[in-house]
Amino acid sequence: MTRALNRLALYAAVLAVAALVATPMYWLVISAFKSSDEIFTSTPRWLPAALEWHNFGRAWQGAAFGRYFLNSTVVALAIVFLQLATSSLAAYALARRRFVGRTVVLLAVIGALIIPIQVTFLANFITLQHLGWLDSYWALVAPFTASAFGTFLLRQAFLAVPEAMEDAARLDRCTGLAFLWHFLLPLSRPTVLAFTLVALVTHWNDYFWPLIVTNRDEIRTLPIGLAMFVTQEVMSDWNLLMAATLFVAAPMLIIFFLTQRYFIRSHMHAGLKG
Amino acid sequence: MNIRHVLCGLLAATALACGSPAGAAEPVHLSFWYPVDLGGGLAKVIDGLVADFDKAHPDIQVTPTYTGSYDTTLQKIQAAKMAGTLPDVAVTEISSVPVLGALGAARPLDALIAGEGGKKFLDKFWPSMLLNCVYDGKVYGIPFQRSTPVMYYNKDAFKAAGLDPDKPPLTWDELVADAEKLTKRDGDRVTQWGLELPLEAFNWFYYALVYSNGGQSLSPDGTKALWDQPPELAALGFWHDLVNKYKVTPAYTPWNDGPQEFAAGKVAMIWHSTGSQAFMRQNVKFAWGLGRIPKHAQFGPPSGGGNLMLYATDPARQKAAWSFIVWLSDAKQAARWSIASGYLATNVASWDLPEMKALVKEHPEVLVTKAQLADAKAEPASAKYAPARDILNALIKDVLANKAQLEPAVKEAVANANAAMAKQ
Repeated sequence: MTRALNRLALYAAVLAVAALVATPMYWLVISAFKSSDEIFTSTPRWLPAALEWHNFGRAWQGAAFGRYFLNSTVVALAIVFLQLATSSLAAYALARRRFVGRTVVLLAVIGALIIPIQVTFLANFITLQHLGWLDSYWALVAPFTASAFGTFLLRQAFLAVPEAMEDAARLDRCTGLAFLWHFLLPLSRPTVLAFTLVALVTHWNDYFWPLIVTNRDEIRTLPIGLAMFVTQEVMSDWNLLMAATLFVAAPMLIIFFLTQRYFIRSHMHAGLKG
Repeated sequence: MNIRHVLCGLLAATALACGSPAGAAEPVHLSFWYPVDLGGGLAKVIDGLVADFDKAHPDIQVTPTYTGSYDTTLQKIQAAKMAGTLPDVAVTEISSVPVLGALGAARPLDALIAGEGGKKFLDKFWPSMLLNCVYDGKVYGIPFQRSTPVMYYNKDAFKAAGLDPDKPPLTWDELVADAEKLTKRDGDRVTQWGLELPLEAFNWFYYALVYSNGGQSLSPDGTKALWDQPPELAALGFWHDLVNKYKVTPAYTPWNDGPQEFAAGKVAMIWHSTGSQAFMRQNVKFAWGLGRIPKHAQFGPPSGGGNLMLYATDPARQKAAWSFIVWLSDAKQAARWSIASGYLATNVASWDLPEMKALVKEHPEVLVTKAQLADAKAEPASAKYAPARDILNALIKDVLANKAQLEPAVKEAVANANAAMAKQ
């Protein structure tokens, strides 16, 4: 009996938290369908009076979203691919190789985790200017080719693979990069996938950097398109902003729902052993 | 085909051939950065203006670039200054004139203005709109998307409360009296607020209250916060009373929510930018009017918005950029921008153009904004003002929410702000 009560209390608590998370999402969806004068009502309206489908058409027209979708996809995928390549190599060296200064390098990586973009953006900006890469895809991708977070996360995962397995692999002449490719990465698949998703979402959502380094509309990304609905002094069209937010967030939401268990695993791993 | 046709043809061909080196010379390419509300609306107006400029000036081609908010535009320009990739022309918020002047990013315009007729050129603009264009005795900005706050009020709500819908309050006392009549309650819950003063990062309505009380907020040399002086203290005290004593104003309304709350009938009077008129005309279903920002000691709405500033260093580009600025701020274009956006027509002559007269005929309330142009005041600005601006913003929020006692909180904020402005 007490067990059943405990269960009930647990479910109630979980439902309450779920409602807390889901309500803003629900509000986003219904606001996207509301007419402009229905956005603010003295009592909140949980269902729109009529479904304003044309909000989506108007929102799509509001900025060059087709082009932005393409750019965001290219940029986010390029960054994630490069980060996976550099992070797994660095993590391999840090986890499985002994060399002078390994601890110092590891500490530097951990230190880099806590430096915000506001500190580095000017230095990166000027470097890109010297390379002549401003206002190009390079500017959007190059500063993010390495990831301290990814390196650290993968190092922890690689450490969990037993030494004995490497010895066994060595007998079969599977060493170095071959061991990384055939053993470490497949065995760390949950971590690799989780990191991929986190990196994908982070760079899909990035607003500040693309705005600073790009001037041409042809290479700008989705968050800049969204920002165009937020006004300075004049009114914002909240319903259009919500409609645009919905289709900009949709790909990430779909990927998240399909792969959410890996997300959860990544947060558990960040707690760390080793 | 006779010989004359052939000759004519030859002649024409020669003329074309001779003319082409000059005519087809590579036009000067200018970059133009602007932060405004876009979406369906103003981006297209900017594109249209730029296209018309290009058509009228075949030797110049302007590329407009949207640069986010006023703050991100400033960051972009500061980064571009370090990297040497400045735009040729940009619109920036008026209080950044000293910041960009001191940084050496924006160019002083005095020589170019002299070439354009000097004082005669500057006299084309409302004097109040030029106040925020000067730094260190030199002109850096030309007024463009400028605004003042103005009071939008619901005429139907005025009638329902027994007030004259053609007489919005003109003084602080009338403001309180009307707001009290307009505030409707259902038990403890307010169903209609009498008055809203939405807050944004630039503390606009604080200055509006301070100026109408005869205060200054920042010392004229731009080094000392004056928030603890009697007129300033009384202004914030009055705002605090609207919220906590008369209870006719909510403690906090986000800037962008204001107009939609007004349109939804949740508030009967609201202070907002003149730039919100276009939204109100499209979305407000009841009869509404415009009133001046009420006075206490005097009328004194702060000005706001953005100026055109020039960044090009190369003389040929400077010349081209200047001609773009002159064209854009000319009566015709200023009127076109004002009508499309709701920003003020900063050029005095704009108001005599037929299109402006047609607007006034259709929307006579626009004349209230014109009247305010006469007594608008400068927004506080100095090269080191930014941290003080943020301290003031936090102070206002704390005092209105009753989280801090007025006088000690103000004293502490003044000390912090003065230290921050002295430090940099």
